Formats: sequence, C-alpha cells, structure tokens
Amino acid sequence: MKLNFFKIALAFTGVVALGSCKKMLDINKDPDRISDSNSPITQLLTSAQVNIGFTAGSDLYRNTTLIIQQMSGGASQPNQTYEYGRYNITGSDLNNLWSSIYATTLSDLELIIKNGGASPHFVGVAKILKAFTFHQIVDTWGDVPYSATQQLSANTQPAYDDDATIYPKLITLLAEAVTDMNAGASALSPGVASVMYTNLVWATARPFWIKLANTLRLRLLIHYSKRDPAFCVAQITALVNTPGITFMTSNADSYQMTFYNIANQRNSISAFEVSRPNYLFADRKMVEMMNAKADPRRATYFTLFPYIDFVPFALNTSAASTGNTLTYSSVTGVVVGATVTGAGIPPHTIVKTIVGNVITVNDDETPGYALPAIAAGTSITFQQVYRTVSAAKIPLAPNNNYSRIHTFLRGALTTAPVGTNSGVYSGAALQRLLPYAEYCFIRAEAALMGAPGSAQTFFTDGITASMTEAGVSGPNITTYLTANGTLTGTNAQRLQQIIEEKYIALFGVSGEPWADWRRTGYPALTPAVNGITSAIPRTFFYPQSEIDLNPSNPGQKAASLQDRVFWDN
Amino acid sequence: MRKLFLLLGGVVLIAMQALAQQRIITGKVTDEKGNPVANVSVLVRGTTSGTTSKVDGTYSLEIPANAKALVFSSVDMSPVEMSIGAGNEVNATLKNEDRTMSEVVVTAFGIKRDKKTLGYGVSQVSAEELTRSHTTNITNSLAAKVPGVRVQGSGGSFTSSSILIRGFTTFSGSNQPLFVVDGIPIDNSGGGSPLQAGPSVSSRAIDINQEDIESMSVLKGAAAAVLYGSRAASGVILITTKKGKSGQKNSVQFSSNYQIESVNRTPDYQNEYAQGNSGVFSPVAQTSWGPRITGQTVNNAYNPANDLFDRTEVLAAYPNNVTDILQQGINWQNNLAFSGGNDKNMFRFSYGYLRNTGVIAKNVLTRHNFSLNTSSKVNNYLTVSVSANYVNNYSTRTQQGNQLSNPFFRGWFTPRSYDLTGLAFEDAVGNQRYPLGEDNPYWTIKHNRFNDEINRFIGNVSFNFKLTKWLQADYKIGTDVYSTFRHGYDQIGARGGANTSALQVGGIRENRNNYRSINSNGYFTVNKRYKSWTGTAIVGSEFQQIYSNAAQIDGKNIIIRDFEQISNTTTFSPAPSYGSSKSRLLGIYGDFSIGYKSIFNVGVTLRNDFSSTFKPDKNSYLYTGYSGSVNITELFPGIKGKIIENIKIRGNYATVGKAGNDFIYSTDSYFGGAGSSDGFGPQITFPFNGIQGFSLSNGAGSADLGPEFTGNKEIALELSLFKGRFTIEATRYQQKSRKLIFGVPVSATSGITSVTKNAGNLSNNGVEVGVTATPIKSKSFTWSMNITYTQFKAIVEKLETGVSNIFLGGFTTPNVRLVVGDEYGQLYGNAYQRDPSKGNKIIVGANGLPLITTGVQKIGNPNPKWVGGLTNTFTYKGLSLEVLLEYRSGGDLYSRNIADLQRNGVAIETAEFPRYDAAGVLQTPYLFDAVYANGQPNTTMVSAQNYFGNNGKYAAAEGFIYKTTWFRVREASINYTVPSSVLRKTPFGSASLSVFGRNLFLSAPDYPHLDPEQNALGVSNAQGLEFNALPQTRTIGVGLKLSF
Repeated sequence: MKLNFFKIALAFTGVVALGSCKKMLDINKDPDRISDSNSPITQLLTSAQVNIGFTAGSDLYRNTTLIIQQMSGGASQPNQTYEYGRYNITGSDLNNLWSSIYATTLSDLELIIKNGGASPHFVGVAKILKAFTFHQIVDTWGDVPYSATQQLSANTQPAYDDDATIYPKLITLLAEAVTDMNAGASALSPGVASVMYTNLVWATARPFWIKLANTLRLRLLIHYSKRDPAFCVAQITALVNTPGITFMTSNADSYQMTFYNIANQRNSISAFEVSRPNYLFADRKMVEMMNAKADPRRATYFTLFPYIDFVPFALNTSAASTGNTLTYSSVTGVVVGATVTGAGIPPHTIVKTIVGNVITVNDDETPGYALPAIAAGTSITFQQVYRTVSAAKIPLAPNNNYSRIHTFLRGALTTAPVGTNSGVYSGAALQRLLPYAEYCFIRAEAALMGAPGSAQTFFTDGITASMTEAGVSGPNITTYLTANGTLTGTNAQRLQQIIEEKYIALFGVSGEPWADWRRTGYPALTPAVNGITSAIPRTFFYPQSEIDLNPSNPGQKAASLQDRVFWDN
Repeated sequence: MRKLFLLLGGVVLIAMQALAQQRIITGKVTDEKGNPVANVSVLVRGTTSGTTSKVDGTYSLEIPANAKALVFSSVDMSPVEMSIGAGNEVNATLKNEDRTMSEVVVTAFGIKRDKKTLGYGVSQVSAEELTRSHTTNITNSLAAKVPGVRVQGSGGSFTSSSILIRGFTTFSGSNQPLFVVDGIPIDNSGGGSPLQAGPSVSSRAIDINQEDIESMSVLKGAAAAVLYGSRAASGVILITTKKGKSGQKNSVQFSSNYQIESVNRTPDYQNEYAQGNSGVFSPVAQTSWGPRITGQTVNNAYNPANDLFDRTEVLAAYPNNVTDILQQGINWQNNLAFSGGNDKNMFRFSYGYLRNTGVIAKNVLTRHNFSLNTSSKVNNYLTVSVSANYVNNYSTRTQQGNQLSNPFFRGWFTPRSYDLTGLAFEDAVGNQRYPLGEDNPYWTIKHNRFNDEINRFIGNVSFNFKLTKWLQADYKIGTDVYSTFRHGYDQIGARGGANTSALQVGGIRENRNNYRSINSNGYFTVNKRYKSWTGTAIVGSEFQQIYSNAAQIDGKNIIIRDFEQISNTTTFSPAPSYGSSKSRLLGIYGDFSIGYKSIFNVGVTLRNDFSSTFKPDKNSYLYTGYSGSVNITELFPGIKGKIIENIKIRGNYATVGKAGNDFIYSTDSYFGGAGSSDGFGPQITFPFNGIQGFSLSNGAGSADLGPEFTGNKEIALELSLFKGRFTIEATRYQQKSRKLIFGVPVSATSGITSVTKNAGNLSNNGVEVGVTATPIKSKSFTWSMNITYTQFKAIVEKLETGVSNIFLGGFTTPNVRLVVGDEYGQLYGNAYQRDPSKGNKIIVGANGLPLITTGVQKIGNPNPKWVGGLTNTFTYKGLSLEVLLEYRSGGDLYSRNIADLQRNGVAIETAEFPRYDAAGVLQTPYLFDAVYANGQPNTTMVSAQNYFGNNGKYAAAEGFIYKTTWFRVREASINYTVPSSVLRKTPFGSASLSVFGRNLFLSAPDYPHLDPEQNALGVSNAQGLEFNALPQTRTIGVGLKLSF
C-alpha cells in the first residue's frame, strides 16, 4: 500500500520533471491576438489607409495650413494652434505624428510588401501608399530614415538617408506598383474592403489606382521644378508621352478618403473642430485672395460671421456718434459680431455690445480704435462677412468672433448655427489627398515650363474641377472663369496665377500648398508678426523622441527652421 | 504563547474530566537544581486528561489503564515525557528552556526549522498578534509588526494595501509578495485604483479569514524565498491555517467581534464666507470665495424643486454639510469552529461571517468563509491531509478617483453655505438636482452603483510518507480557483465618468473574470544525524499552471431607469472584449544544510525553473542561495553568563530568478485592432464603416526575453541577553535586481515604438531591526515590548540608453516616475520658477503671483526614511493590554485634496485673516516670500483668493507636497481571560473578552486636514499621489471568544 502511494507521488513529480517538458511549456502564444508571423494583409491595408486618411487632416495638415495662412489659430492664445501659427512647433509636438507615420502607417504597409508576395495587387497598392507617405515625410523633414527602416527590433536605430536619394526611389516604387497591380495572378486583391476607391471590386478599382500611381509621379516630379527645371520638364514629358499611360481625368479619379457620420468615423478636420472648438479660424490671407475675386467657393469653404441667418441691412443713426457708440431709435435685427460698414468707418469694425438702442463698435485688432465722427441720420450697414484673423495683426484680446471651416471640409450641416455657436456638421466629409484639380494645375505648370499640353486648358480644367467639387454651379463657374480664368502676362505672372488658384483649390490638402510656396514663392506671404522666427519655416524640427532615441539622427534642425529640403534649393 | 494555552487547556480539562479512572499516579516535578516547580501541566500522552503540579511540585492524576506516558510541560521550560512503569510514582525534572534554542519557525514548504540554525531571516507573526484589531483585509494587520516589511493602506476599510518586503525588486511588474496558504500559492492581485473612473476594489488577500490563521511567516530576502522560485522575488508571506490537533478534545470555538468605524480625520473648514467668487455670492460657484456670512438674504439661490435659481435664502454656513455625508461604519465578524482529533484523525471546520459597512453609505462588504482541514494517519507510513476553503465575498462600492461621480471629488469642498444635507438632490423621477457641475454626493452615492462578487475555492490534498526514520516524502496538489463578477450601473444624468463614462445617458458595465491556478509539489526530505553532525536535504519538483480569462461589456443609453440589465441599453461601446492567458512554471529544487551541534550551520539551495513565459531556449534558468550561521555562544561557551545568553551571526547570498505573469506573451509581437488618434481628441475606431483593420502593435516582444534576477546579500546579528528577556535581531542587506523587464522606447522609424526587454537595474540597501524586551516579569505581571525598525532605499541604477525615465502612474502633472540614479518612484510635477541667485526664492510676476515652470521636475520623494513599530504588552493574571505604536519618518505625498480645500476657499486657513474689512474692501494680507524676475524682493501683497487660488499657490503641483511623517496608535487591545475557576461550573472551556481599536490616535504634524495614509493608485508601484480618495478610518470594537 505504502509503495503504491510512493509510486504515485513519484510519478506525479517525475512526469512533470522529466516528461514532455518542452511541449508543456511551449504555450507562450497569446490566444487572443494574431501573431506577427501571420500577417493579415487585407486588414493591414485598411489600417494603413485609414491612418493615411486620418493623418491627412491631423497634425501635419494643421501645422502646414497654419503656416501657409489658409487657417489661423490666432485668437485664442495660449492654445497650441496659436503657438503653431507663430511657428512655435516644438520637437515634442511632432512625436505623435512621427510615430504614427513610421510605426503604424509605414509599418503596416511594409508588412504587406514583405509578406504579400503571392498577392501582387496588394503589394502594388501598398507601394503607392508608401511612396505617398514617404514623400510627405521628406517634404517635411528632408533627410529621414528610409533604407534601414521597418526592420522592427532587428534595427531600432535606422540610419538616415539623404533626401535627394529618397525621391528617385519613390518614383521607382511607383513604377513597380503599376507593374505589380497589372499582374495577372494575385492570391488576394484589394476589393470592396479598401476604404479608398471604396466599395469597388478590384477590376473596377485597379484603373483608379494606376491613374493615382502615375499622377503621384507627376507630383513628385513637379517638386524638382526649382532645383532642376530641365530635369523636371524632361521627366514629365517622358512620362506623359509614355504609351498607354493613364492619369486622372475627372473628379471621379481624385485620390481621397470617405468618412462617415458615425462616432469616431468622422473626418479628422471636422472632428478637431468638435473636440477643439475655437482652435482654428479663417485666415485673412486666403480669404482676402478669394474676396478679391469674389470666389464662390467661399460659400462652402467658410462660414459667414455672425453665423445666424442674417440679411444685410442699413439703419439710420438717431444721434451723432460719441466715442465708439452709435445710437438708433431701434436696433431690431442687429446682432453682436455683425460687421459695420459705412462712409469713413474703418474696416473690420464689428458690433461689440448692444444696450438698449445704443451699439458699441470696435475692432479687436486695433489698439485705441476710434470711430470717426458720424452725424445723426447717417446710414450704417450691418452685414455678415467672412471675418478673419490676420497673421499680421494679433487680436488684442482672445475672442472667437471669426469665420470657421464650413461644409467643404466638414460635411453637411446637420444643425443650423445659433447665436455665436457654429452649427453641427455630419463629419462625413471627403479627406482630399490628391484631387484631380491638383493634376490639372501640375500639368498647367509643367506646360508653362515646356512640357506637353496647354497651360491654359489645364488651368481652366483645374479651376472648373475645384469649383465643381466645392458645389459651385455651372453659370457661377463660367462667371468666375470669365473674370479670372485666363493666364496672362509673363511666365512668372502666369505661374503665380496657377499656384494661387492651386492654393485655393487645395484647401484641406495636407502639405502640398506649403511645398508649392517653397518651390515658387506663391502666394506671397508675410510672416506672422509674433512669429518666433523671422521667416516662415521651410522645414520642421525633428521629433524630440527621435533626437532622444536614435543616435543616427543628424542632430536637431537650426532654430530658424530655414533648413531646406533638397528640392527647395 | 501556545504553551500558555496548553497550560490553560490543561487546567480546564481537569474540570471537564469525567472518565472512569483506572489508576492514580503521583509524583513530584523539580527543576535542574531540585527545586519544586509549580503549575506544570501533566498530561497523559495522546489524551486530554491531565492536571497541574501544586506549589510543592507534587501532583496526583488518575490515568486510564492503557496510558503509556506522561507529558510534563511548563512556560519557559522544556517539556519532558516520562513513561509510566509498573509503579504509581512518576517524577520529572524539567530544564529551564533555552528560548532561542527552541524557537521554531515555519519556513519554505511549511517546514518547521529551529530558528537558531537558520542562515536567513524569517519573521513569524502569531494569530494573536494578527487579529488584535480584526481588520477586514489581513494585509493591514501586518503594519509595523515585522521588521523589513512596509504596509501602506490606500484609504477606506476594504480597499487595498501595498505590502513591500525589503523594498522594490522590479520596475513595471508587481512588487507585492507571494502569498502561500498551507503550501499553495494563492493570488493576491487586484487592488489597483482607477484614476479616472470606477471604484477602488480590494486586493485578493481580503478573501482570507484571519480567524483561520494559526501563524504567518514572512520570508525575507532571496535566501529565505529561493525555494519558491520565480514568484518569490518580492518575498513570501506564508500562512499556516489552524488545524485540529492530535489528542485535542473535540471542542467548539466561537468568537464575535463588533466594531464601529468612523473617519479619523476630517478637514478643518472655515464657516465665515459663503459660496461665490471675489466676494460676490453666486449660487453656481464651486468656490467659497463669496461674501462674509452676516445673515443677509440672497436672491436667486438654487431651488431643487424646479431646478431654477428663484429662491431667496438667508445666508448661513452649514458647518457639517460635508461631514454629514459620512456615516458610522460597522464591522461585525463572527466565527464558529469545531475541532478535535485523536491519534489518527484530526479535523477543524470553521465558518466565518464578516459584514463591514463603510463610512460612506453603499459601501458594504459581506464575506462568508468556510474552511475544513482534516488529517488522517492512514498507517504508520502515510498521513493524508485535506484542506478546503470556500469564500464568498460580496461588496457594493461607491465611485473613486479623479472624476465628477466620485462623491468626494468635489464633495470635500462643497460651498460652505450650500445646504447639502437639507436641500433635495433629486426630483420625484430621480433626475439629479444640483447647481454645480459635478454629481451631487448623495445622488452619486445613491445612483452610481457598483458591486462585485467573488466565489473562491482554495484547497489542497497532501500526502506525507514516512519512509524511514530519516527519510520522508511529501506530495501536495492544490488549487486556487475563483470567479469574480463585477457590475456597475451609471444612472441617467450622471455627470462624471462613473463606471462606464456614459456621460449623462447612463450605462452598465459587466465584467467577469475567472482565475484558476494548479500547484503540484513533491519532495523528499532527509534528516540525518551522525554524532554531532546533522544534515537535512530536500529535493523535489514543483509545477504550477495559472489560467485566467476575462470578459467585459459596456452598454450605454439606459432605457428604463434602475433596471440593471445589460439588455436595458442600446449601444455597446467599446465593443465587448474577451481575453485569456495561461502560463506554466516547472521548478526542480534542492535544499541542503549541514550543521555541527548548534555551533554552525551551512546551507545551499538550488532551484532551476522552466517558465513558459520565455522562449524554449531561454526558459530554463538556475539560481542558487548560500547561507551560514555561527553560534558564538556555543562556540565559546565561556562567554555565556548572566548577561549573554546567545549570540548568533548569520549571513547569506542568494539570487532569485523571476518570470511571473507580468510579461506573459512578451516574447512575440502581435497585431492589435487598428485605430488612429492624435493628441487633440479626434480618433478613428474600428471597424471603420463595417471594415475591420489590424495593425502591428507598436510594442514589440523580444524572443530573447529572460528572467529578472534579484540577488540579495545579507548579514545579521542575533543577540539574546538576560535569559532571553532582551533580544535583538539586526539585519543589513544589499539587494541588486538586474535584467529588469520593461517596454524600452525605440525610434519609431524601426516600425515599432517600444521593445519589451531585460534592460534595467535596481539596487536596494536596507536595515531591519527587531527587538524584544521583557522589562518586568513576575508570576502575575509581565510587561514585554516588541520593537521593529524598517529602513531601505531603492535606487534605479540603469534604464536603457535614451530612456530618461519610466512613467509609473499619475497625470501630466503630477506623476510618479523612475529616473536613473534616483530613488524608486519619484514625484514629478510642475513647480514654481525659482531664482538660484536669490537663495532659490520663488519668482513672482508683477501681480505678486508665482511663475510656473513649463515642464515638470522632481517635486517629491514618496519613500519614507524609515518606519518603526513598538508593541507594549502588559499582562496581569488574565488581563492583558497591548498597544502598537507606529512611526513613519518622511515620505512625501501630493495632496490634491488639500489643494482643492485651499483653492476653493473652504479650508480654515483661507479665512485666517479677514478677506474684507468692515467697509467691504478687499484685503491683501498675503505675500509670497519671493523675488520679481529682476531679482528685487516681492512686495506685492495679494488677497486670500489670489494667494490660494488657481493662479497662486495652486498653480504648481509643487505647492501641495506634504511630508507624511506620522505617529499613530495603530492598535490597542485589552483582553480579559475568564479564570478557569469561574468557568468550572459552566459548559465553557475558555472565555475571553476584549476591547480593541485601530488608528486610535494620529499625529501628522506636517500634514493638515486628513490622514496621510492614502494612495490614489492603490497597490501599484506608483505611490505618493492622493486624489480625493476614501478617507482613512478609526475603529473601536469589542470581542468575545468562547470555547466549549
């Protein structure tokens, strides 16, 4: 009896100690997650695409749209956007952007390229997206890690590549992408699960992707215009003359991502307006360019201020003005924030307060603002305008009485604005990444430099495409084109026309207007008066995390932020 | 102590004796010098019949015919067994006991060892010491009782407590010790406090019923714990439960303890100034910077009846509006146990019932413990023991943390003139009625609910084979299985995060967790004597598997109020989650020691672990421990005398490898659900338009992950003087932990942002001293003292290159982090700008208010310099008085609570000076001791509101770092044992009554308003933040103990 127990005891301990120990212990695989040896390429592509779409309306978009004076963070110091608008974008501010680009978007794309060998259609799409993402990194920082990246823990300190050597690789990558996508056999193809060119079977989606690859090559090539115009023209000429090559031909071909009116699935530009109201307002630079041409796109680009439905009207004052006050017999219909216009009244004069029948007016940007003497009976007009913040004039006190982004970037207005509160938007807005209009302006610019095609035709097409996209009616487009649609003057003047139209058309496209300004100097910008650097940045600081963690980093950029990426020289 | 009970038992048993007697034995008990010894217990071996010797040492005892021997025992004397011959006289000579000789302690695997021969530190705490103040969570009972052990509660009576044995051994994993109950490791996880939502829950040690504990051993340092291997790097707490004893008469024990619990310290409030701002009354102001209360009538006061501001009221202060929220808690514990045994079978069954209501309504914990221990001698070779414990633990709790649904998030600074107690807080439907932004304290207590239920089984079967006189084999297999069910309900209209962060629309969270560990352990023990040499060897192997799974679902948008069913919600967000994990650990070990007489002893311990949490080529690792002790007094008997009784020096060097479950599945990288977000709020969650996405996790695993190692060197001196009436045990140790695992941040350009690696080093040096003294000892009166001293300092020696710190917990400011070269877990936060050229004075702006640093910097060190305890025990006949005093020196705490009391103008100091003069002119009596930016001394006087307000003192976290140095009467008890003479005619075998209390007195000179024993993050490694937590409590109770 005792021996039996003894044997059992021995068996228990013995089996455990000596038996199938290896097998028993080999259980260190998380049953609830997919391990990295099993890349789910379909879902990886979705992740990368959504991140590209999201990022295009996130940090990089905000930083560049602020310094390029399409938007302003002007009023609400000390908000971050106020700081960014005066070029105070620190390395730490860029950590999140850098890591989501490299460690999420590019990491997922690289896994598709590495592991998707049997599915060249996936690999091709991933290569386009990789080239698209990398050119943005290069355009922002210049020298960045390229060749040695994405080796995961095998190399956690990737070396930096000269930015001039990265661009040719991206162009090659785009050519490879087309070959991959044209492969006859592919185990898997991006189908309806793609969130770009979405809900299309591969056979239908493929032509779009191919057009994108080729059009993106044009974008990269036009960036050479300043550094090597001859190379730029020759390359573009060769490309457009390639037999069988296809480019975008209409707005239907535009590279963009659709967002939805569902929580956490909204366009990030619109979502930012919700989570951070009063961080972004219309910038005077862009709005005045549009005002000068009575640009009908303003109606969908920006809200009027005040936001409420408001028909301009005039009133006769009942007494001479005293100080900054106007007195009326009745002020029915006047609202705080309404712009006041009339003979001798300075621009940007708005209604500050209404007490009884006395209206106080002021301008937040002008110290010691004073109304001129206004006689009793003078007719003064009250109206809504696209009220803007100027980089050249910092408001005296933080306030939020300005125009904001409208339906073009935020989707349909679902609740009308009330008082000083802007309305509620669906957020189901397109995130534009490379619209057809941009293709037209690239071709117009190239043609101006000697590449095939008519600059004027492409210029007209670009404006038309942009206007159509912005919901402008045909007759209004014609009116606009009649007034502003003809290239005239010297080549430099024509270039200015093209780039300034492109600047308006690419409202909401991340980074590209900044690149155009660096290449061409258009539109001419005045640096912010309160800027921490005297000139508009031509690059960004490297992220602080990269300085801390990657000894291969060449060192932080000069504080002036005037280091130039290779094509800006 | 145990002997005292035996003696008592003996006395009682005479009275109970009712057996037919066969024979009368007489005799005399003497000491070594031939003097008669009185009060010696004389028992027939293996039975409960016995008597005691009289003053002249004689005794007389009737014995059964089959009696073979008598056992003589007495306090402070070695027991003697004398066989009964043919004659009727049995005399005995008792030797004065060498106390240190026979102090037996429970060591690894429950092996009892003579403390004198141990080369490492083991402290034992008896049941009496542990249960003196009948805490709900056993961990709290250890405070200040064991040198080298630091216990820190986190507020409330049944939340969690952190126990650190000799400080820290790891970075981001758990530093809490391994709990072992009767040889089976049990889970003590939980107890983390959420910062932003939900209640604070208990650490799982709360499932243990103290009344079932016979003794608790604390194994300190690697050498003591090495046999437990991987999980024991932070020390081991060994719990031995009560069992039936051989030869014990069947008996019933009953105990009942009733305690009342109250908050031991509440803020001192001003009651002069009303709700408002800048001297103007406002019914919606959060602050009490309003006008002086002079009985004026104010308009527009809040009217809960219609949720409008249409009431007038005569302005008055409500001094108790906050403290009225608190109530008196009740803690009632009842225990019933049956135990008994004969030569072959022993048993003990107990049932324990505990009900603890907290100091805030709706905090109630109810616990049922069933415990059965049996042991059977099957034959001369085999003993089989079975232990089974079932626990049902049900509690309801209120919200905690930095969120508007925590009744004390802003409740502590309710405007002084708001009649929180008197005004309604809801309408007939239950809609909240409160003019301020947060949840009304009463409303959230009533409506934002949480409960959790734990059903737990801990049990084992063990076989002991006595193979030969010197060889035995033990095999034990045990399990710890529990399931928890947590349920949170957030009422429609809840303004804070509560359980689900549903924000106004109401939500329900259900969380289920199952845990199952299996532990199998078999070993051989050899005990050999050869002449004066003794040798022991243990060789065995242990296997453990831990499996757990958890599922959680959040439903939002409650349809029907108070119907607490998940189907009563319309959206399930975030998506329901499920996760499981399984790990295995195999250890093969050997423990060998050899001793010569009592002079010296050396030991070697080896253990090789195989852990499933590493790759096959890294999963095997060996570590060793060496220990030795020399008994100077045995080596040189000449120095033994009246003063010196015993001197022992011991030392050891040992390493423990740690695998643990903290980094399970970290050898590989995985894909996680995709998502996008930036730092401003916008985010994308998947599935996106119905399409799922996966992304490679930014945190990568590494295939070469291996165990963490903690090495410990220690040397100790044990001294026993004046016949053991004064003893000292002093230990100095150095601990070095290396290859510590954490997620090392790397350049994102690699495609990942962190790699889990063995990268850090940590050192820890400490001293622990235990002193016992018995200044007075006479027949009827004894005064004894027990002193503990604990001090250690852990320094972060190494993090990875490029990694300047690791974030342990908290906020952007303040937070707790590990920084190379500094002590463990430092407090960082924004600070006041200072001028180093002006004696480091604060710099103020032209407005006289301090300028604040833009970044964070070190603002405090939460680690106390040392902690100490002093227990005084006085016994006079059946009466005993015990008092435990505790002192803690230093240790910083950031108090958000004090910050809030001041900046909102409710703390008494904010009304130290009149805020307005008689004419209503604002007074500016405050001046920051500071300079302007140009170096000139600050002369700008400021008002109280500016001084304490958001732009004043409050602006920097640095302003609310307080030293927690405290002195407290941690425990006190008076115990009266009814003399047996009284009980003789009753059915009771023993009876005692006690009155006891905990946290009876507190002096924390540097910490105003509240008890500094707080931690917002519960048992986590991040200590030193207080965030409007549950207040600490004082308990006073009475107890009754009966056996029959």
